[in-house]
Amino acid sequence: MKKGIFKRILCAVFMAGMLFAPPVWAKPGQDGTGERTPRCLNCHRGEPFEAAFYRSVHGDNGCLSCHRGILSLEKHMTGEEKPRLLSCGACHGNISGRYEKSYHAIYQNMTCQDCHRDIHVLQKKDEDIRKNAIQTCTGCHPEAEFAAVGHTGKFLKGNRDAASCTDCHGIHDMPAYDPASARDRAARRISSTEKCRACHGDPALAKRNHLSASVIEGYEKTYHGKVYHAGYPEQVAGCADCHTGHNILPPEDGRSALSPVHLAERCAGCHQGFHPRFTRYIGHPDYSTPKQNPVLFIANIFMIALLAGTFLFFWGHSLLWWRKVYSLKCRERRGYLKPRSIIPECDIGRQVQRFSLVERGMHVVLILSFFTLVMTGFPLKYPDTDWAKILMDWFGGAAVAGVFHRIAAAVLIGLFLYTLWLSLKFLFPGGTTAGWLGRLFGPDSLCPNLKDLQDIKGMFRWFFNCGEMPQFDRWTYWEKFDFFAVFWGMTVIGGSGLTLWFPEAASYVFPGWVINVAALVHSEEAFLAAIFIFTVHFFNNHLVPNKFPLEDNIFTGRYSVEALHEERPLEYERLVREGRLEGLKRPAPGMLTQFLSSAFGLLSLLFGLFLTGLIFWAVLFY
Amino acid sequence: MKRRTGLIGLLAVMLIVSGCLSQSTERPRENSVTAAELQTMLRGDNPPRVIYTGSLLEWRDAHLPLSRCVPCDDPEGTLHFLEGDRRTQRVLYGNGPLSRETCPVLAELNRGAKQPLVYVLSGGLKAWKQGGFATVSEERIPRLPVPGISKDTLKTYNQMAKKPLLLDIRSDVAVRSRPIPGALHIPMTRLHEHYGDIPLDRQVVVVDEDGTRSLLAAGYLLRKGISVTARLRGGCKTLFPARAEGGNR
Repeated sequence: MKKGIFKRILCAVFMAGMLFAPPVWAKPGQDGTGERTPRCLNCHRGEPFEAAFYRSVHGDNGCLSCHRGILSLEKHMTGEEKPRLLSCGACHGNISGRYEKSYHAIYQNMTCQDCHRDIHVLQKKDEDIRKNAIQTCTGCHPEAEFAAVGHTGKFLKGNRDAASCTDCHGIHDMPAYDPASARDRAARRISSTEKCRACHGDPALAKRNHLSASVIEGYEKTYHGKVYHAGYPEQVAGCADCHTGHNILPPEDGRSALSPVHLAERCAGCHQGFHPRFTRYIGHPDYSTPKQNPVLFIANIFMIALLAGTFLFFWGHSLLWWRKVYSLKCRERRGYLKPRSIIPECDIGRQVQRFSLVERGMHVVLILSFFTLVMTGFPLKYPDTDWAKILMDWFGGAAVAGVFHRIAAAVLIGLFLYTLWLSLKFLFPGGTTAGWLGRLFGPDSLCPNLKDLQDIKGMFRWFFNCGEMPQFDRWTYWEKFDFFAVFWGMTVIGGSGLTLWFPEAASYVFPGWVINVAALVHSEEAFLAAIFIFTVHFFNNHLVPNKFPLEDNIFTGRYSVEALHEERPLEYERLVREGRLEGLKRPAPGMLTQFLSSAFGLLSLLFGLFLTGLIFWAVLFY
Repeated sequence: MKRRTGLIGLLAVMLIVSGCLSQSTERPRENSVTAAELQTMLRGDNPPRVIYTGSLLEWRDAHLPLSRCVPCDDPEGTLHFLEGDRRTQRVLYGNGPLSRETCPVLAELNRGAKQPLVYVLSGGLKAWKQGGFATVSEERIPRLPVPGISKDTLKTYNQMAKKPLLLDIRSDVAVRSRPIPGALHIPMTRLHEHYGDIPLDRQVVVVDEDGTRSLLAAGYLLRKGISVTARLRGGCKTLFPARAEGGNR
């Protein structure tokens, strides 16, 4: 009987215990009093599970708040049942959610307690979390290699503008980039470069820390920066590719990745087969001061002067020409009759050959290759514009656009060489050298001569109503300028382009900073060529009121005898005098030729003007 | 005629070049499934047999639900997991890309199969985690703060009076092709069986293939009482650098 009562009492005590004891499946904060779970301490006794834990930030929780999954104490004590993995996310869901996608979780299967190792004694500290993070990170990432000098070194010495580990890597959301994925490599490069930009692009911070304020601007002037901004960071170097990620030091310091000892190694990450002088390339060029590189400074001044001088003269020339022709047109409308060309009756309506089939073909190829060059090159000149990104995408990316650019350049170089060959054939027909000087400065030559200077003077006198319009021979001075502008442009753009195309090979001839000069010259000369052709050349040949909207003889190859007499009276007289006019007479071009010439010419004209609009848009608003 | 042929040729070259450049370089070589596809397969009526091809230690640390471990470079003793109905689909996954060249198990399973019954989880365990899917842990190995040192720091270690012991945990195949002189070789797949071979009176530096597995190995060995002082950051790749990649050009 006594035994039965004892059993009942024991059962009642057990039931009461079950009612009041916190359940083993309790959720955080539900284990009642916030006190420790006494049964755990029977075995897990001593610090840090007792007083130190109560004083910690988690002291209000019981053991089972975190160590879940124990359903049977007996099984747990025999080792059959182990607590589930800690789930800090039950309380710290936001942080945990981000952390689960981070590098340490994905690649190393690290969990919270791997970093928060003092979890049972963790105190809320008022200290700088950025400083504490350095202590934690350097546990695995040795301080000597990651944090002793450079940004973190400065930070540890008290400069709070300097970067701590978490400023660049984040705390719980360090992205898990896959090095095998091009997309991830690009994202990583963007992430690191933008982090650098955030501080180094801050003028106040730069001033406070005596840093150069133009490093970001300088990077953006380089091929690296331009392709990066055009949206293809995977193809070029970002900040960390050259400067590396840690222990970043000035180049003068022998430990720096950019010190002369290590610089070639950095460049070799992307470039192969270069001469050691390749490393003299300037990663952040500053054109505004001769201190960095006097040649670069002078090249910049020269290009500014060249562009300003050329446009000032020719835009002024075009404006005055337009005003003069327009006023003449108005006078015609008011009844002042224009003096008509006096040509024989039989020549009225007849056509003469001006350009051969080969010359016309060369011009068409020139147009197509030039448009390709503009469309693939200017997106890099203005990479921030929306149209640059559209054009790049349309070509299939910066790399594919680069291939098209090089193909078009090769075609243009071919044309240039062929023109040189034709010029030599013109000067030395059949290999004879006699009279070459006369041919060079003769009326059929594109080489400028004394008469061109007189024509320029006469043209300006005509603009200001001080004389008659000069009489021209086969080539006018502006046509000769067009021709020699192409020659100059081809030499400068082609030479600099080849340097940029083969920078490593160029380093066997030039030091690396010549690549910077080549980039500057290539870019500015391309601007000069494109805008000159799309404005001045278009005006002189198509948009001047008496030719508007299109002079198509470069496509049809012919124009009327009347036009020849009116535009080039000296040539007309010479052809008549030499009896060559009859031999040049041709039937009018067929309808198909006329249509194709007009369509191609007009489309090219409109497309060129459209590109001009895009370029001016970029110049004015970006 | 010649001009026209030349023009067509030029256009063809341009098209081929642009086509080649725009091709993706990240094509999976095996019959692959994504993490989401595998999740769907696992929920289906005939769930596939999921096999982890890394080491048992890594599998115990974290693995896909219902998966078994058949180490690729040391499958002895676990091959029975592969047995059974050959019509059952099998999905293999590892820590990185799997191919028949690097994983003989995959080659063996694919041998003689008329239709693809063996798949590879594209991106492996990492892709599964990145997809937000849960993993299971039999016995997680805490990651302890073992510094990952560079090869330059390792050189200074080697100049010390008592040189540390280099523990090479790469596979037998990798070690045969590029051995590290003086290193003790215990592959990761047999570390749990042979850690007793490591002398307790030596400081140990763990070296793996690419620096991704040494942290787990170091944590495991520290718990076994072995003095692991460091890991080689970047693994053997830094000791035997491949030809410069020149990835940008």
